[in-house]
Amino acid sequence: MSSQPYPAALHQSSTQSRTLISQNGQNTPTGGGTPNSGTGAPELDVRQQLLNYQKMFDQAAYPFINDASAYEKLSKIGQGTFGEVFKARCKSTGRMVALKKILMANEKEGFPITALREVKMLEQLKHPNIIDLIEVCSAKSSAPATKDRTTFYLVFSFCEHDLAGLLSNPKVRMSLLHIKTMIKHLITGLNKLHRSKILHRDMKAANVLISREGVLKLADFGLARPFVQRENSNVPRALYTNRVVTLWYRPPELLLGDRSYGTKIDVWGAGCIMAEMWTRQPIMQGDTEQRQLQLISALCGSINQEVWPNCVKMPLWNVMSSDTNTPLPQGKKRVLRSKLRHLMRLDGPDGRSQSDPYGKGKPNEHLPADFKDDDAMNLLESLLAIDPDKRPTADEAEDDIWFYKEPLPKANVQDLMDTIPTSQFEYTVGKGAHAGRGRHHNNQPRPNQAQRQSNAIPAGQYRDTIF
Amino acid sequence: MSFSNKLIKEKNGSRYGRMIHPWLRQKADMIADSPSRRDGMTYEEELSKRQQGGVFIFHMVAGLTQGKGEHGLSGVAASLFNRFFNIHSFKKCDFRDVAAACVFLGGKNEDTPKKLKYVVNQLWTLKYPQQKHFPSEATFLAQCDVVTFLEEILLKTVSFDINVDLPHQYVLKLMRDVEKGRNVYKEMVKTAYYMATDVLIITDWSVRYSCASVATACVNIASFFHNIKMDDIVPLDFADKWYCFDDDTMTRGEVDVMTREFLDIYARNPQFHIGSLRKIDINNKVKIVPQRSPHHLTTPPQQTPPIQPSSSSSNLKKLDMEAYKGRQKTLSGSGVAPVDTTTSPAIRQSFLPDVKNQKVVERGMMEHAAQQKQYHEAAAAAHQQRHHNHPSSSSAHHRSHNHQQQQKHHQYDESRAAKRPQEYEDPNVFSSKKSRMDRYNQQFVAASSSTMVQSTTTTTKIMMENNGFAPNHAHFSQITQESSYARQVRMVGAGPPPPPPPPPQQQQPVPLMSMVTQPPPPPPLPHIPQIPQMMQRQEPQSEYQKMCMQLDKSRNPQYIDSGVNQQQQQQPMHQQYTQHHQMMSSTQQISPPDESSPPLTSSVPILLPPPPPPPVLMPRCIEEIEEGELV
Repeated sequence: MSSQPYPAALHQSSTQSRTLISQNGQNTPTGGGTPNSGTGAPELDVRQQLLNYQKMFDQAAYPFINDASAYEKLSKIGQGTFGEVFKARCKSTGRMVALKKILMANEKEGFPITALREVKMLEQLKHPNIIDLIEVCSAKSSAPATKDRTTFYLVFSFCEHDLAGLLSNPKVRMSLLHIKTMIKHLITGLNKLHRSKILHRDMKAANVLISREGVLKLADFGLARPFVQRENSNVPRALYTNRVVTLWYRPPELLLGDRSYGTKIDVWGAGCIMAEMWTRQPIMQGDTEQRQLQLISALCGSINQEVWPNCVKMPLWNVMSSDTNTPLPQGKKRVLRSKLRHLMRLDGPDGRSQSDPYGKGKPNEHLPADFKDDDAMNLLESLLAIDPDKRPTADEAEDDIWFYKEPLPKANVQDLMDTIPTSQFEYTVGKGAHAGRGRHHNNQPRPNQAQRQSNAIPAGQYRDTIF
Repeated sequence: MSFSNKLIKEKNGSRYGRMIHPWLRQKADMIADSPSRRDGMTYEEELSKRQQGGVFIFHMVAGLTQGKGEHGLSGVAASLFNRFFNIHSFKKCDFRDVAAACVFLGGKNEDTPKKLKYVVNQLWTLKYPQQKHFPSEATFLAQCDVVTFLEEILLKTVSFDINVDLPHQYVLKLMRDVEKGRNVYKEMVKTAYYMATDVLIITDWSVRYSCASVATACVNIASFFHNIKMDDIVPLDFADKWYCFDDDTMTRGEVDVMTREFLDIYARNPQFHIGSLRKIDINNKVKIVPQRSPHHLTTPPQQTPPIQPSSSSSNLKKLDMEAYKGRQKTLSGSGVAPVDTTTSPAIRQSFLPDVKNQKVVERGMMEHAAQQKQYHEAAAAAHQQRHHNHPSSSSAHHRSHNHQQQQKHHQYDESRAAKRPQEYEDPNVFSSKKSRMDRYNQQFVAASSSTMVQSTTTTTKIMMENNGFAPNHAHFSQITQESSYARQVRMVGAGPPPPPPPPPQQQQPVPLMSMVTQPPPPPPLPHIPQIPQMMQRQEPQSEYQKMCMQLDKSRNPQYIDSGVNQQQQQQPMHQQYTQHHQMMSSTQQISPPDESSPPLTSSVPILLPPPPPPPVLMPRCIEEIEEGELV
C-alpha cells in the first residue's frame, strides 16, 4: 500500500487500488488489511465489505443481462483505442453479431461515460440506417489487472463490410447508382440521428458499415453525444470538446477551435465520405490541424470572411492566421468541382481513378468531355461548404434534387454486395487503421482519445463535460 | 430529465415508455415475492429501506451539488436504486453503498458526471457522520472500489436499461392539456413538478407505475394541497382522460389510491419531508403523525392541522389581483360557466389585500358560505359510508352559540392533543389580527379532526378543511335526518338544466380522499347514502332552499370559486349574500374563501371561457419536451 498522504491518493487511479485489493484478496482470503496501515479497522471493514459484495454478487442472478458466453467469438474484426471488435455467433440462434468490448482498464471514473452514452443512444435509435444494438452482455474479465471486474460487450447485428474497406478494394466497382443509393442511406441515417438530437462526431468511411443486404448503417457512437438545440434563446450554446472527428474528416470550424458546433460538423463528414466514393480514398489527409486546414483551403478555397463571415469569431482564428506558415492561405480558389468532376461518371471509377484521384493527370479520354453529374456535384459542393451555416442540414440534403433524378436510388445495394465474396473491413483488409489508404496511415488514431487526451485536454471529452 | 421524452409505443404489460425490461410490478406482487422477501423482510421493511435509500440519494445529490440538488439526477438515481432492489435483496448489501453507485451512475447518465472521489467522499460523510475524513488512503481507495464495483453490478442488474423516464415532463404535458394555455394553475403545476422527484424518492412508484401515472398522481396530490379538484379544472373533452392521458392502464381509482398512499407516507414520515415536500403543505391539510405502527402502511390516520402563516409577497398580490379582475369580467360577461379559477394558490393569495378590509372579508365569507354548502354536501357523501358524518366544522358558523362553545371546547382539547400551537383557539382574535382566511376553517379541522384520531385510529382521514368532523357520535341520528333533507334541497336546487352528470365516481375507497379526486356527486343522486347532509342543520329550511334555487338559477354550471372576494355582480348571488351576511356576523368562524368549493355542477368539467390573462409565462413544457427527443 502506498504511504502517500491521503489527499494525494485522491488522484490515484482506482484501478491501481483495484489491483492491489484483488491481490490482497487472493493472498489473504479474509481480506485482511495491510500491515502498515495504522488504522486497520475501518479499512479492513471496507475491504472486507468489498470482498463480501464480490462474493455475493458473483452468485447473484441477473435476469435481464446475457452472459458473453452466449456468443462464440470467431475473429477479431476491429481494433482501436475504443476497444476490440469481434465477429461472433450467437450460440442459440446462430445469428452473426459483432461484439464490441468496452474497455474498462484505464477508467478512473468507473464505467466510461462515452460507452454509457453510446448504449443509451443506441437503445433509442432504431433505424435501418443506424447500427442495431441487440443487447449488452457481460463477462467476467480474465485480465489480471481487472480481476473480479465485469467486462461488458455491446452486441451489434453483424455487418459484412465497412465503407473504407470496400473503397480500398479496387475490385469493388461501384456504379453511380450504387453511390447514390449509399449516399442516400448515409444521409437518411444522419438525418435520423440529428432529429434525435444526437451528434455523431466521428463520421468517416470506416464508421459506415454495409450489411449483407446492401443497407448502409452508421456505426461507432463512441464519440456521439446528445445535444441541445436552443433556438431564439439567449442562453449561450453548450460548449463541447472540439477534439472530435478524425482529422481527415474534421470540418474547418472544429479545426479553428469552435466549441459550440452543431450538426453541421457531421454534414461535412458526410461530404468527405461522398467525395470518397469517387476518389476511393480520403480526400484530405492532413497530419496536423494546420496541415488539414491547408488542405481544405487548397481544395475548397481560402477560408476568409467572404465565404464564411463568422470565421473571425473562431477561437483559433487569430492564432492560425498570424502563423508565419499560415494554415489559412488566402487567394486559393475552390477547385473541388474541377478536381472531382471528371470522376463523377455514370460508371464507377476503376483502378485508374485510384492512382489519379484528383484528376491531376491527363483527362480521362474514355469519357465524353461534357459528361458530368451536375446534381451530384452540387450536392457535394454544398456539403463541403466552408461556412457551416451554408451547409445543408441532413434533412435538406436528404431531399436534394439529386436523389430524385434518374437513376433513382434503390432500396439497397444488394447487387453490389453479391459481387463481393468476402468481408471487407478496413481492419482486416489493411491490417491496421487506414493501412494502404492514404499517406499517413497508422499515425492517425481517433484524435480525441487516449493518446491525445494526455496532452492538451487532460481527459478529453469526459473532463470536458465535467468542467 | 435526460434527452428523450417520447414514448416507444410498446406498452405491453409492464413495459412502458423507454423501459426495455419489465421493471414495473404490482404492489400485491411485490408483497408476495421479492428478493428481500425471500430473505425474510416484510414489504414494509423493504419499503422503508427503499425510502431511506431514496432519502440518502437525495442528501448525497444535495451534497454533491452544493445543496442545490438536481432533479434529474436524484430522480434517475432513485429509479435505478429501486430497480436494483427489484433484483437484489436488501440484506445482501448496504443500501447506502448502492445509493452511492446509483448517484455515480445517474450522474453520468444525466450528463452531469460527478467525480468518483466526490461521490465517495460524500458517501463517507453521510455514512459515518462522526468521521470527517477517511481514516486512511487505503480505505478511501477501497471505498472507491466498492462504488465502482457496485456501479458495474448495477449496470449488470438493470441490464443497461438506463434511459430512465422521469415524470416531470408528463406533469407539464398533462397540465398543458388541462390548462389549455390558461396558465392559471401555475402554482399547482410548480408544486406537482417539483414534487415529482421527491415522490420518486420516498415511494417505490418508480417500479410500480409508469412515469405518466406518477405524474398524474403528482398533479392530483398537488391539486389536493392547493385545494383544487382536478375534475373542476379539466376541460370537458379531457374529463375522462386526464388520469390516463399517457398510460391507458390508469384509472381514476388508481390515482386515488396513489394519492392516498402518498399522503399516508407523507403524514407518517416527517423525516422524509425532503426538498419540495417541506413546503408542500401550504394549507396544512395533512396532519403529520409520526409513525405509530409499521403495519398501517396504507391506512393510517391523517389529519388536517393548523396552518402556518404563509408569506405572500406584494408581488404575488399584484399579479393575482389582475387575474382576479380578469376573472370577474368573464364571470359577468358570459352567462356560461365561470371558472373555478380561484382555486389556484396564487389567485387565492390575491385576496389577501382584500382581506385586510374587514368588510370585504365578510362579504367574501358570505359568498363562500353558499358554496360551502354544496361543498359539504359532497364531502358528506364521501364520509357517510364511514359514519363519520358530523356537522362540519366549517358549518359552524351556522350554529348556535351553544354549539360553538362546544366546538371550541373540543378544539382546545384537540389542539393540545395534537401538540399544535394554541393560537388558533380564539377565532375572533385570529380573524381580526391575522386576516388570513384559511385559518378559519383550518382551525376547525384541526380541532375536530384530531378528535377523530382518537375515535378511529386506523382509518385514513385526510380531511378537507371544510368538512370537519364533530367529535361525538351523538350527532349521528341528526345527520341521517339531515341527509334526507339535504337530498331534498338538492333536488330542488338542481332543477332546471342539470349539466350532464359525470359517471358516479367510485366512492368506495377511502371516502375522505375522494374529496380531492372525485367530483361531488351530481345533484340528482339516486342513492341516499351518498347524499350529503351536513350543513343544513341550523339553517332555516326555507332560506336555504331559496338560496339553493337561486344559486342554481344563477349559476348553472357556474363555478363559484373561492375567489369570492370579488364583489358579486350577479343578481341571485346578491340575495344569498345578504342572508349570509347575517349569519356571518354572528360568528367569525368561517371557512376561508380560498376553499375551492365548487357547486354541484363542479363534477361536470366545462370548457371554460378564456381565463384572465395569465400573469406568467407559459409553462416550459413545450420547449423541454421538444428538446432532445430521441425516438
